[in-house]
Amino acid sequence: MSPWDLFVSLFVNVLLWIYDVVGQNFGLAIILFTILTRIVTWPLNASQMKSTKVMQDLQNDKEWQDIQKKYAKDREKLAQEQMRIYRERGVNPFASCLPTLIQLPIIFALYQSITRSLATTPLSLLQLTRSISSFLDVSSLIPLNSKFLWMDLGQPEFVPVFGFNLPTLAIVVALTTYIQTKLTTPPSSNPNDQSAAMARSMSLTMPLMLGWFALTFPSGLAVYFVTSNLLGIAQYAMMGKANWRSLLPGGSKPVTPAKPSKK
Amino acid sequence: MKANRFVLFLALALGALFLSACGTPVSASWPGLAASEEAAYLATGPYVYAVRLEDGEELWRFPEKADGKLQFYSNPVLTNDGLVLLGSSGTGHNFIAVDAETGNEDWSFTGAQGAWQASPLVVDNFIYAPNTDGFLYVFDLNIEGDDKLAWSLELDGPLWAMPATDGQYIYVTSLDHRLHAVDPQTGSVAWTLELDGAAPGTPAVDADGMLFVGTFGKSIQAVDTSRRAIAWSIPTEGWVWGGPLRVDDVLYVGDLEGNFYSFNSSGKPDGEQFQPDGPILASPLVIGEQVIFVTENGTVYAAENGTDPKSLEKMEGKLYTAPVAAGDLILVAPFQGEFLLVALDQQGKQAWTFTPGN
Repeated sequence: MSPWDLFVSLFVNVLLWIYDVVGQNFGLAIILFTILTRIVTWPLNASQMKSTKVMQDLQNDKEWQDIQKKYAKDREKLAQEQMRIYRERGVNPFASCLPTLIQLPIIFALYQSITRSLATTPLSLLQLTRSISSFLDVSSLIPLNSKFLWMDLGQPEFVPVFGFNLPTLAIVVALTTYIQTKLTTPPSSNPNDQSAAMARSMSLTMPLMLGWFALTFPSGLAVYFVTSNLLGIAQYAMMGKANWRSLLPGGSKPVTPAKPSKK
Repeated sequence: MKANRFVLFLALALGALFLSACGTPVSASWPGLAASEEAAYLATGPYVYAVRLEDGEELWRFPEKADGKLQFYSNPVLTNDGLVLLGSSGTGHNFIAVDAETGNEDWSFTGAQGAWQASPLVVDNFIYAPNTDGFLYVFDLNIEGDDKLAWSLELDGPLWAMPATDGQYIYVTSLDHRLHAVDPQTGSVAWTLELDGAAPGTPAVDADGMLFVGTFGKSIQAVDTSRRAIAWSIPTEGWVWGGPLRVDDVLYVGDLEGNFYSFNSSGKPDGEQFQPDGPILASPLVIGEQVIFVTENGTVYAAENGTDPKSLEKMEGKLYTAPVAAGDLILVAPFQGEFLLVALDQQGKQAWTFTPGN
């Protein structure tokens, strides 16, 4: 078994342990497991949010914008000046990236542990049998009860409405992803700059991408997406970082550039 | 900010890769296999191939062009009137009957809510098809037209195993630890029995009213169908995935811990327990005087006259699919191997191999 498989197996065992403890309800197990991983990664998320805010504030700083204009045609000099400002203000440009990178394997392992636990095919059931520790009575757990509310967590979710299969959960995933992306994107002083364009693009592509995943993959994954999005929104709100105005039409107005400041 | 953008793109790219490729796809599994006197039928992914037994040449494939919603992995089943029955375990839950000669679709059913992991059982003109949605769907081939569904019955629990029959009842095992005896005359459950674990394999039924089934409860359970009760239960070292094979008075079965057992119908060991080179998932096969079984490590074994099984052939890939007899040939379908289908003679010599062309 590869190290990655071992890592995913650890997640599978925790997920199935929760499933067993909560009375064999896999939907509830996914929600609790997502909360657990959010709690474990809370410091990383908080650190990322703070660092992103610092970097965003820097983008709106007048001195920063001045050097962008001044050295627009001299990339080398611009880089030197940017590094100088980083040094002077004690900003680490990679501080907001590192937590994201550390969280990526956790997110992927969580996804794989959900799909592996659902074991909708003989091959995935075989993989599951080899992932489980002896402390769990696997034979009593299989098959997992994949029914949760109106959903079969092993299948993509649809609700028949007037003869049409409406993918309600995929819509909720897209909507909560959109809200989370908008809330966590601070307004930029210059909506035409690259980072603002990037943020606008992300606020559309992320909901569409995750919505598409929710549409085509087992709905257990969509339950994870929705829970994770709601917890993310809650965490931003608790830290006072949520930008609620950006949800309103015209709410992402540019902010006035801050005056230069030195630490 | 450049670093942030890079991480964002990296996260998206890796996310898409992991979510769509590295996780187990909804439908991935090992191949299904069946054979008639002229052809082998191999269900693997988007296609079902008909392969000529004489030389291993492709006769036809269904569908002609892959449909992203259809994935075929369960064993195809042949009817007496020349149809091959196929169930899709992709996002399209189609149950399809195709002409065995031409590969053209004859009729299909799209009303199931789950995947078709189990092969159907054909009795006279009726098809008993269990689905992972927990329903047993029954089709009547006497019905004219495309809609051949005669009735369906909810049994609960995912149904992964091909049913068995003693002529009176249709026996359906489920992953939710149950054995259902369905009365085909009334279309209802006559009785249900609790097993000690999930039962993904087809039960073996004998003429004396005994039914044998392997379970994930690490046992072989014998059910006395006249008393509707467990007659005996023998522990195994590992989970039993494939259904047991009954030849004369001896029951053959393998487990996931890599043991091959033989019992008599009273549950007493018949010969020594044998340990091949790997776990056994597939049901054994009898051909001539030999009992053939395959292991995950890609080895085909043959046991004869109570002697220790001997290795016939070891091939690249994992053998999860039950071997199939086709005349004098033994057909095996390796998973993740060099070939999709390999034909062996009874001495283990390769007769031909099959790899589909473009």
